Amino acid sequence: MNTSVAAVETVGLGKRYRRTWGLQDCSFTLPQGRVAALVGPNGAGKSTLLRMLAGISTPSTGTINVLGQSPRTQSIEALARVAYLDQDRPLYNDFRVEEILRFGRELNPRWDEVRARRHLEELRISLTSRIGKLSGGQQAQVALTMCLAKRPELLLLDEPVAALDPLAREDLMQILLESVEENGTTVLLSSHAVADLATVCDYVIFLSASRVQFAGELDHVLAVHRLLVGPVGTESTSLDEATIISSITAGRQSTLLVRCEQPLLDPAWEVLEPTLEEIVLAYLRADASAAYDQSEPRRGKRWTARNDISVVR
Amino acid sequence: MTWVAWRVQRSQILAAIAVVAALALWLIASGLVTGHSQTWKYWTDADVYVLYVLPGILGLAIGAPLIAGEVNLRTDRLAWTQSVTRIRWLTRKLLVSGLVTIGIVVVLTLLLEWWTRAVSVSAFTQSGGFSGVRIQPDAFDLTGLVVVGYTVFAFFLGTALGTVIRRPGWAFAVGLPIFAAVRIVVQWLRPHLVTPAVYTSLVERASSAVNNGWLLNIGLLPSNRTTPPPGKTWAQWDFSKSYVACENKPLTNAGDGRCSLIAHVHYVFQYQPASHYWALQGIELAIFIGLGLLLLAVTIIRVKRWRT
Repeated sequence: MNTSVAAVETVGLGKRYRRTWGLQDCSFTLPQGRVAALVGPNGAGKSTLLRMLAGISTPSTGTINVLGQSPRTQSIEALARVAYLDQDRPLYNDFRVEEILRFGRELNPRWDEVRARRHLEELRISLTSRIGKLSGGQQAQVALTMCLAKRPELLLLDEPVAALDPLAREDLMQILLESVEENGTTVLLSSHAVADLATVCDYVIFLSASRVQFAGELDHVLAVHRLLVGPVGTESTSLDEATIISSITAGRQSTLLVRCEQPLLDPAWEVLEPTLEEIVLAYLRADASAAYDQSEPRRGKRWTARNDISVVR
Repeated sequence: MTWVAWRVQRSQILAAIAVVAALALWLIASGLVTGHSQTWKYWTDADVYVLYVLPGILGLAIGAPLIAGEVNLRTDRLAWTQSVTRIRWLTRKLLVSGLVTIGIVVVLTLLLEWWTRAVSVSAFTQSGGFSGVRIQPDAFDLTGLVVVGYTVFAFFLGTALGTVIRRPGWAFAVGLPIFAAVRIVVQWLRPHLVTPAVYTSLVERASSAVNNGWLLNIGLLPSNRTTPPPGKTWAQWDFSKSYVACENKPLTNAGDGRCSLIAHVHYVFQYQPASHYWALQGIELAIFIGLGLLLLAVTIIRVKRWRT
């Protein structure tokens, strides 16, 4: 595997639906061997992006490189290197589980039958069951097994944990980590369950309002964001270096989430390290309030969804 | 891959075979049972009438869901993200269901040939059913190669419409009138696809060659001439107007028979002789296969460019 090639590289990627943009001006680079989380509110363009990376949707603008190739080439080699889990998890409902395995075996040269069977056995999914008779969670597991057994170099998973119970989520994350360790697979998964992601992901791409708000190493993202707690009115001082993402005022105390490259040494503030979930929530909150909050006077730079801040290191 | 192509289309194919098998059994039964009652005959006629529309319905029913069915259930997103090119996927699906469909139609056509011999044909001509003269439209449409042509055309029509309409039911529903319209247009062209033969007679009685062929027109020639008017071929000659020429003559009793007797006219029978059967079958087959291949090209382009 040529690790110098990025797993995913997009430049100015955009997808226009009839009147609106599903995704706009999306540029980021995902190095190989990462487990990347694609986060953002509903309608942010996560599924649109993943579909374009999988080659089943075509961009209106911009370019995509997946493992050094355009998804448009659609060669067998290119197809074999990428596995894609659609958000609807489409499967042939009248197939038995063993038939869908045969489907995968016949259509994929690198298919790992042993692994697929072992995985399904662990999940206690009978090979003779009809897909349509399985529960939603089990169907999701079968669809995921299909993706993993393909032994891809890049796994694109659209909401893989949405239909899974907490235990199954943890198991899935474990399986993904094993796969990354064993085969050097790159994983790009979208999810709402930010708390789950933080434990396994080492890369974050945050989409909002059809744009990339930040993309980068998780450590870096965590390092440049700070949670500030202090009395109301403290805002005015020494925040020129920082970008205020969101602020919450509760009584006489206000809590700010800021992005700042340098350490903050203002004694007026209690400086805390936020979790990924807190960061994502702050961006989501800012995005949601941007519409009516803009008239409010602010000192310091005010982050809005329109400022395309890309944190790529 | 062949197994996959069969498995994803199995239910449609088996359903089609079940329906066709029922029709076939009815044909076999009516071929074996002798001494038909009138009711029995009507029912058998009904079965034969179904065979006229069967290539269209069968081809569309198998072709329409080929892509639209997958798109409708979103399984295209599963199939097209496996390690197989879309064109290979499409070709294998087309081959499996296409060959099965053609097989069904060929078996049914052969069965009909057997049935025509087994059943007293004259009994059926009287009930207005299948005449048994193969060059005449009622038998022409059910025998020989054209049946395969109709089926292939309907199959590719269904597939191509499925890539445009995306819903198998609607693709089928839109396909039926298109199929019927193309059949009607080609049938209207059929008399001219091969130059028809002409038989002239002093009396209004066709030869056995005319009776065993497909009679297109009857005309009248003045005087004793048996060739078309100067500077014209039979194809350019207006058969229907020639009657008028006869009727304008001062006749005491204006009947066709008398016209010829009194005015010494020639009757001209324009017909497709039985010997033109395979030529006409071949040309019509080529037309439908050609149209089918055009639709296949549309399908290939649409599938290659397909994006959700």
